[in-house]
Amino acid sequence: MSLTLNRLQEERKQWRKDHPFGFYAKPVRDSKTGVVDLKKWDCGVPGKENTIWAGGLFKLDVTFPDEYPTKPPKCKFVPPLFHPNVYPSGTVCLSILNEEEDLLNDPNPDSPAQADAYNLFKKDKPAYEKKIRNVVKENPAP
Amino acid sequence: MQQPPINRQDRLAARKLAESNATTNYFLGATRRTWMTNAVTIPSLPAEKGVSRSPRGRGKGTAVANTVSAPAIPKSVQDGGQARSTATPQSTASHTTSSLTERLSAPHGTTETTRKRSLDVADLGVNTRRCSGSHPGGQPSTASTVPSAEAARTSHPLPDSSVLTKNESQLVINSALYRMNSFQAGIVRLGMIETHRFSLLREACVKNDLFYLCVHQVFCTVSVNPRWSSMNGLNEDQSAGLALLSLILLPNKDVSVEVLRFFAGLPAPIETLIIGKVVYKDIMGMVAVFLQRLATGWDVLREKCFKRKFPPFVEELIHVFEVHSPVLQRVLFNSIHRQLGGANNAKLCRQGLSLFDTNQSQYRAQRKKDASADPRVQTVIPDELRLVGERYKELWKEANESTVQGPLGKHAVTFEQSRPPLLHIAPNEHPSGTLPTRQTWASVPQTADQQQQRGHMQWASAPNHLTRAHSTNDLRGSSAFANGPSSATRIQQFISPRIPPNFVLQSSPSGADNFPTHVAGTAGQGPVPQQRRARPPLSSRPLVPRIPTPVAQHSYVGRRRHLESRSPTIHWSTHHHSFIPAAGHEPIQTSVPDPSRLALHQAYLKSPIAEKINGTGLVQPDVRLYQYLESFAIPPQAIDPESSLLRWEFCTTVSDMTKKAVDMTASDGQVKRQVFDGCLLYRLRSVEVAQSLHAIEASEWSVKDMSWPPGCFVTINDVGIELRRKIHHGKDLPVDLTPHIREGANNIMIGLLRSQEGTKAKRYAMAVEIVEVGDETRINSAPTMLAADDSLRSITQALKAPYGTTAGDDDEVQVVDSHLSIDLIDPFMATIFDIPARGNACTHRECFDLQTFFQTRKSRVKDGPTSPDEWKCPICKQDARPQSLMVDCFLKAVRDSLVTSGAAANARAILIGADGSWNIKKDDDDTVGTKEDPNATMVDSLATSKDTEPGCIQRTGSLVIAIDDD
Repeated sequence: MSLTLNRLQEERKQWRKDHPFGFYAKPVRDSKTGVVDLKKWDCGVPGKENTIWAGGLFKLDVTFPDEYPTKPPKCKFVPPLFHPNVYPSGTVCLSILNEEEDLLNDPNPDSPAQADAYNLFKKDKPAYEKKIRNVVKENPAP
Repeated sequence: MQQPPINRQDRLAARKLAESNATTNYFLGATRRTWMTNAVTIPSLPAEKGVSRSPRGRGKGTAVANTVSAPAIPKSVQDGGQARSTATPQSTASHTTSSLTERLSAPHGTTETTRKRSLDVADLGVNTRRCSGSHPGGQPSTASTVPSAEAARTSHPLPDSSVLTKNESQLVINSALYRMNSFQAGIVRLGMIETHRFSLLREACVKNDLFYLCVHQVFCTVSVNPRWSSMNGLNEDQSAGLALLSLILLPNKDVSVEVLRFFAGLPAPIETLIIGKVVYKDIMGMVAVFLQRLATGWDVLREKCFKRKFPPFVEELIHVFEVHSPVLQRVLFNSIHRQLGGANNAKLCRQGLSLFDTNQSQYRAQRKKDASADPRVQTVIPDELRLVGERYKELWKEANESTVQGPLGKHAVTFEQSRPPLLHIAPNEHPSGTLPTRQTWASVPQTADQQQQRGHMQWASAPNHLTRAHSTNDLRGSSAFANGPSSATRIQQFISPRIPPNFVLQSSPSGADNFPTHVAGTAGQGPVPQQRRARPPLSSRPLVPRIPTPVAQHSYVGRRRHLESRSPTIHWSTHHHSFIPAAGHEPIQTSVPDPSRLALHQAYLKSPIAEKINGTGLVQPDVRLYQYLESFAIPPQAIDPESSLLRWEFCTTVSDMTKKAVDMTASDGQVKRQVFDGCLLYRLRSVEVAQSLHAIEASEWSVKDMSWPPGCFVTINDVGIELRRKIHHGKDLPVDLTPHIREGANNIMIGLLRSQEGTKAKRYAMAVEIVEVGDETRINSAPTMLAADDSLRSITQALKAPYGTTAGDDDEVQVVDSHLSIDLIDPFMATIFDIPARGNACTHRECFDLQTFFQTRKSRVKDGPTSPDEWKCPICKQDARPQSLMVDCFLKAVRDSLVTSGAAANARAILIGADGSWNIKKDDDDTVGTKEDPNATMVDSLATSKDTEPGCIQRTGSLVIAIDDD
């Protein structure tokens, strides 16, 4: 347990020190008590410039288990993201998150997670792109 | 014997078809299978003789067939069938006629079994000639279909089947029941249709009703694999029959794919059954007849029933459809019964069905009395039928009186009104209101007439357009005629030779052949193809019933081989197996094995739950215990690919035995294993190794994944051990030998099945491991210490080496940096380690934190001792068992110095020079500053420029918090 918290504290420190441009990640602070819960993070992933995702910022909840770092965190887009590799609940496979920035623009058609986005992506690219532009409008970067 | 008249044209057509059949026979499988190909001659129903029954009836070919069969019908159907049968050989292969007539004129009193066998003999005789090729063209083929057509009809398993076929059908039914039980156990919810289908199948099993199982299997198989019907030569009529079934049993598309697949494989994969089960083959032929008749006769019968206002009863159903399945009879009855009003009236529904049940049991009783008679119903006695019909009508009236359906006088009108469009599989009584109905037309109030009309259209359309297609095919009519009323023949003839009745598991000890082991059954008449050739001509052979052999003595494998070389079609049969998997069969691995579901049958093989005790035997749940491979009782040994039996022996001392973990059975029956610091466990493991390997080091062994050789059987001290394998457990698991170990000599025997390819492709090594349990103190004292001087010396030597030795002379090797970089960050903590450690086998100098590593070792059970297979270096996955670890005192000194200076928090790596000096390595990615994020730039410029100053770090830290968190 202390390992988990120490590790998260360290992650937080490292993130502050350096992180990719446009992204944000911070532990959730309880609005009443003001206590920071290191095991729940609010994160944001920006859409890459010069892609259909540009101008968007997509909010992600990351929850770390007590066994972290021996067990991986759970990541979930809030609201659920219209994307072939994101589950309808918004959950996303961590292995995919590693290349998160590129993934937005370059979905992996071999591991579809939601039917709607996957089908549109496969069958009707123009409609898919139009839909994504709407998604971006709904989730604008500040 | 009366011969129906045949004109010349028909004879020509028959001949032509026979020839084409012969061709396909030799190239079986190219497009179609013959056993179902040929239309079955449909004798017109006595009731409407001469009336055109369906579009099909107007086809020329059928017209011919009718002229042939119609006169035969009023006689006993048996005679009729034979008459038709004999007609064919006479027209095409007259030389067989004499023997056939001889057969047919055999005394009527002979039992069916006898007759059946004699027929088979006749069949084989014909077959021999065909195989030998002495008769080019189709004549022998045509002739040969006839006798076993007869056989198929006579050998069916209903009341009067022989003991042998009874045994066999019982086996098939048991298999079906077993499969259903295990399948339903795994399924949480079934849909309505699925539930009904299951209940019908179960009913069929209870009633020993193979016919229904077969109909249902064909029905579902065709849905699963639409090509199956064309592959197996189902004709259009038979397909139309299946389409009708989907109206009666409700369509398969409403059954979930999983269940449908299961149905298609019930009672066993259909190919297996066709090949392996004489009874099933015969029934398949009967089913083909039934489907054909259903397609052509259903509408007619339905109309007739509407006119006379009562549904068909058993004898009529058997007569019209040759449906020998009590379950299906009831379903067919119920279908029309419901349309006649049963669906709208629960009472009528119930009473009608019970009337039918009475009728059915009466019929069965009758059949039992007269066991030797032909199972088909030759004629429906009009009086009896009328009697039942009257009874039904009475029921109908009563039922409608009790409801508000209307006065008796308006009988006809209410009758029509009450007819719903529903076909429903519901075999049992259901109050109509509770049944979800599949409404095919709107229930807008209409006049009775209108409704009736629409109803008829609805009903008529499907089958009609299905059956219409083949009326264009003139040849088909004669084909039906030419081949007699049997398709069962075809199966018997071409799909397989007869197979023994008793289940014989034929294993191949040498492993020399790849033929699947078969569970085979024979009705005793299973001759070897070679024998067929040698048979004397049919006519000169005495018709002696053969005595069934209890166990097949011939080499079945040989037979199969022969068969396969003869007809290429059946090669698909080798992909499907009987109830017992064949030799060399590899089960399909599910993509995500779920041990909690798939491995329940081996739950008892799990090691007992560990109970942690201290030296005095007190339970200590809070103590953390670790398990690790300590040494070997039998060190790893590569297994000689040629050896098939290994005998190992090892000895244990008294002190070993005192340290051995003890399994205690509690009063509630639960077994617990008492483990304590220093206790020992024994287990057998097997790993895959390289071909060339002869010796394997403990360090290499300890990180290799478990893998049992295929076909591996283990005993310890003469106790058999079951292995837990990947197929059920997701991965191969080691065998826990601890409870079997005794003081002194212990012997282990490992038997290995050697198949031809399997063994040579992979090599294995096995060992008996001694696993030690240790507490924190024990494992903390296990790692060795690498002195700071030694560690540093090895680093500086590595840096100097290129200059001083041969490497320096090599132009291609140029050392550009005289510094060595070592990362200081523990992979778990993401900060600098406290006690730097790595494995002896590690090739890197980076370390992880010793305590964190120990703490992160996982255990199988919560709070149990850690798993013995958890000891891999987090950096390189090499051996990192406690005793294989070393603590690098140089890095420890570096760390201590950094902590003292306060720089530890920001030091992520150090650079070591060739002279042994070291300093903190600056971050490589200072490029952050060039990015557009103003916050990041500021933070990073501060953080990186003042890397080593603790004060600055504090500053940057507080600065960032202000930006990020709020």
